[in-house]
Amino acid sequence: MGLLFVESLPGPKVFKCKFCGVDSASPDAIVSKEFRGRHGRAYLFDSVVNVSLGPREDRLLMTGLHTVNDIYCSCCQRLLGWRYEKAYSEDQKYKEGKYILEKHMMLKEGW
Amino acid sequence: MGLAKVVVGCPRLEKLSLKWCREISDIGIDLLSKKCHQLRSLDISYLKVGNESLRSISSLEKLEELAMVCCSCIDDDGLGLLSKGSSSLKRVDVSRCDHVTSQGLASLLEGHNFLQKLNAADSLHEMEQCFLSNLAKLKDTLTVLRLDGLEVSASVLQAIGESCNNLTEIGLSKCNGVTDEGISSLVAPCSRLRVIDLTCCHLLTNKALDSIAANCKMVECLRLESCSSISEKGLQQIATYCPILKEIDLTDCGVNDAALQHLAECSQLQILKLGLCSSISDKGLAFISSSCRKLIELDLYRCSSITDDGLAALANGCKKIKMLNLCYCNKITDNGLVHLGSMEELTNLELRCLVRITSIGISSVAIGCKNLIELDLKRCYSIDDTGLWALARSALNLRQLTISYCQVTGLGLCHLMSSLRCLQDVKMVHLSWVSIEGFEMALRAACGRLKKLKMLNGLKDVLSPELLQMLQASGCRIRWVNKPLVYKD
Repeated sequence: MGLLFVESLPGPKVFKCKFCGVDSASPDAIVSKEFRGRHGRAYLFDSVVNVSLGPREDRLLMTGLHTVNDIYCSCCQRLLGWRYEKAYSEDQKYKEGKYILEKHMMLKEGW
Repeated sequence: MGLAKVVVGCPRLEKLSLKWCREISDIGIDLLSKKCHQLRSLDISYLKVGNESLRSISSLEKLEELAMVCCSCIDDDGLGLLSKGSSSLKRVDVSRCDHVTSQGLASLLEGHNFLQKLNAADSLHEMEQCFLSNLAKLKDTLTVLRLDGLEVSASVLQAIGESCNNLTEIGLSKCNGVTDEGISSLVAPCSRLRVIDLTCCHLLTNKALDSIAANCKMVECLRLESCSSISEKGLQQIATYCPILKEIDLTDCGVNDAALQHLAECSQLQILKLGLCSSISDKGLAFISSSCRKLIELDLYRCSSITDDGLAALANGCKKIKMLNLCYCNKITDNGLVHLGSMEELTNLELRCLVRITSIGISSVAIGCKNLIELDLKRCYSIDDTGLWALARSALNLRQLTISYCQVTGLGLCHLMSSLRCLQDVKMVHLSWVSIEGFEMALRAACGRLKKLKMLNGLKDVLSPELLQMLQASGCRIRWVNKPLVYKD
């Protein structure tokens, strides 16, 4: 394949993919730290970089029915978390369009 | 091969761009046309495909948009083949196709009479009657026509104006023979014109501007680069009668402060280019800053009479400026840069050869302009490491930087390269105070992130081959230049 397009985030604090080291998100984009993923704690982000989206799926999560897309690191293709496409109860709507990154899959740089 | 896989796998493809994929040939395009019937938009610019491709493409019934920029193997016969298919094309771009002439375009228009946009810039040399008559058939639908680089005459322009009175955009950049008379007869029937490109139409005077002002009240973009015979009187008419003007290019037009006073009436102005207008001074800038609050882009290249006071006015009035070019405005000092620090939306800043500015000024810019993406400091001879430290600390979004000829050392360079995570493009020619070790360490610090570098040829032999290999492997392209060390003022 050709050369991969990788986006860098201005620092100095950045969350990176634990396996390949590309930038994933900036702590400025954190909306909430109180989420749980498959492997434990997860953060809700406004925006992430260097991810690719999987197909839409309906899932029954702890907070109710949601339509989500899994997100994969665009560099090493590992599953990093998911994105909320649609929420079906009013109090969950704030998550729509935002991304969950599992803390277990991240490494912190610049702290 | 690759194209075949895409084409066979995605039969419902609607939009495809193969721009610059130079290995693709007529066979590939033929396969594409046979398999992807839903195709609406196709870009084959810069490919070496020939007329046979156009034969295949003509079978695509839903094709609305076709771009063939710089396809030198395509000629009139190909365009003839193209017009034999269904008449679905709405937007065609044949700019820079050397072998296309009026005949070819005429046959194209025969076949596709719902055409909305035609770009034939830099391809035609002369306009012939067959093309002109067929243009008249597109009266209702044609909105965009670009004929840059063509030989025209007043009668040709008159014919175009009469044939296509629904035009919203006309491009006559670098056309020979564009006169006031021609413009008058062109714009008279075309009152819907929004974009008028008259770059390098040297013969035009204020009369042309008067005609435009009289007829085209909806004009939003006016390009008049190098139309040196126009003056503030013509611009006064434009400013009065074209209130929604958003973009005006007056590079090399010799305009003065009085012209800017008139232009200030255009409160919707977003892009203003005044390069090479050395009679512009702070007074003119004050006029603009007092009312053009929506200004986003300002080009003051070589407007050497501008001083710090002009920048103060700008910072006060035009808070939304994103792109600013102050190259060679050498009266500017650090005080001026302090004012620039208050322009929070600034993303692109060019400060070439501002010999009076020092690292103090750069610090103010770095701290204040948090969104700075591109910075050009070539030949700012008084900038040293302190400036680089400031950038390293505060200009965290910086992606492109030029520091050629600056007085920096390896230490500052190293720190800069390791701190700025978004920095991708660095031009560092003739950094005479940086040692070879300095270059090595600095480049290694940013190895994975750099994509474009410009350095002196001599370094090719002294930098370690390992480093050069690492840079190449991570996708960095290095441009080696051979420039003599000369100081300019």
